Formats: sequence, C-alpha cells, structure tokens
Amino acid sequence: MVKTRPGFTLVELIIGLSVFALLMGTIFFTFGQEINLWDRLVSSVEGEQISTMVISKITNDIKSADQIMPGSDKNKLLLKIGADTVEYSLYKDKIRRKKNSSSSYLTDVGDLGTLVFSYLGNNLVKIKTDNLSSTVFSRN
Amino acid sequence: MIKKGFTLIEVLIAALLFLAATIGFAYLLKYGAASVAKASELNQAAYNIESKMEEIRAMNFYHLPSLNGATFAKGAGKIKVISVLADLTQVSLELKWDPTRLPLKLITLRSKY
Repeated sequence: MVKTRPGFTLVELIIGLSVFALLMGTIFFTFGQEINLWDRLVSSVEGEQISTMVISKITNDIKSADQIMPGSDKNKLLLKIGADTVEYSLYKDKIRRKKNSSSSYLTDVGDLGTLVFSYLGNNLVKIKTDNLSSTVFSRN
Repeated sequence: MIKKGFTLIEVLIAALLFLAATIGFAYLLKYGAASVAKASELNQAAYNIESKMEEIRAMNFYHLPSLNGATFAKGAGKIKVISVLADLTQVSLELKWDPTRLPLKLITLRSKY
C-alpha cells in the first residue's frame, strides 16, 4: 500500500511563513512611513490654506481702508474703513475680526498660532502667520 | 502521482509580484507627496514675489530706476526696470523659485500720476 502525504512539509510551511512575514513586514513598514509623511504634509497644507484665507481677508480690508489707525501694533491691526473701525488680532488662539463692537472669528482654536503685523513705513504692512508672510500696500 | 496546488517557486514568484505592485503604489504616494510639497513652495514663492511688488508699489516713481538690477529673496529674485515713456515705467520681477522649473514672473506698469 502506497502511503500518500497530503499537505505541506514542515520546511515548506516554515519557508512559506517566512516569506509571508517578510512580505507583510516590508509592506507595513513602507506604508507606515508613507502614511506618516502624508499626514504631516496634509496638516501643513491645511495650515497654509487657512493662512491664505486669513491673509487674503486682511489684504482686502487693508486695500479698502482709508487709514491704518494709530494704536496698531505687532499684535493688533486697526483699520479705518469708511465710518467703521476694523480690528484684527489673535484673541484666545483664534483670529478675530472686530468691526466696531461686533466680533467674528476667521479661525478656530488650534488652526493658527501666530498673527504678527509689522509696519515698514510708506503704508506698507507685513502680515505674518505660522507658515506664510505677505506685504500689503495701502494706497490711501 | 498527481500534485494538486502550487509549487513553492510559483508561490514565491506570486509573492514577489505582489510586493513589486505594492511598492509601486508606495512610490506613487511618495510622488504625490512631493508634488504637494512643490505646490506649497510655489504658493510661498507667489506670496514672496507679490509682496515685493507691493513694496515697489509703495515707492516713489522717481526712485524706481534705481531698483534696476537689484535682487530680492536672497538673490533668487531679480528686478528689472525699463523706462517706457517719461511718465511710464515698466517693472518686472522674476523669481527663480526652483532650479528645475520656469521662474515666476510679475510685470507691471507704473505711471507717474
């Protein structure tokens, strides 16, 4: 009687498992690294988009302002637009646009941690956020 | 004796093919990430050149010719000022933001009035 042995031998099983482990290890390692990189990139791009939106909003207001008001400093920009006073500042970790006495917020807590204004003379204002900076000229 | 199923070699080849395909996808992801990073650099460069132009807008018309040949952005940007008419000047900015790509250009006309 011929004895048949269905299935794998121990050696085959060990080789198979080793190959499988090596394969999975490589895949998880590579993808893990890629996903970390991707996550970092996505959060930095999101931050940049928020900065772009904030800078564009402030730029529009500076362009339509009659005057950059005295009292503006590093942390606060005061603009006179028609009969209104508009103030930009970082208030409780959110960027606040205060028109006369009503406030609105451009960002939420944790979106942006820096909003610095510098005044370069000749009606030039430099706006700096976490990841972007822009210089704007106020014509009036 | 009939042997059903795959041989070890076949399984190994299949595993290798699978690995190659997966690594291909991983490279695709990496390439995508590099493109996004490049786009972000371009965005920064656009802000940089636009900011310089705003600074030039704030300048007196008569001081513009003195800017010709000046550089900005740590030498990566060049300013060219051409007098078109007595009361009209063309200001061009060129920013080489990436050694392998075309430079960013911004051209404007400034009138004396």
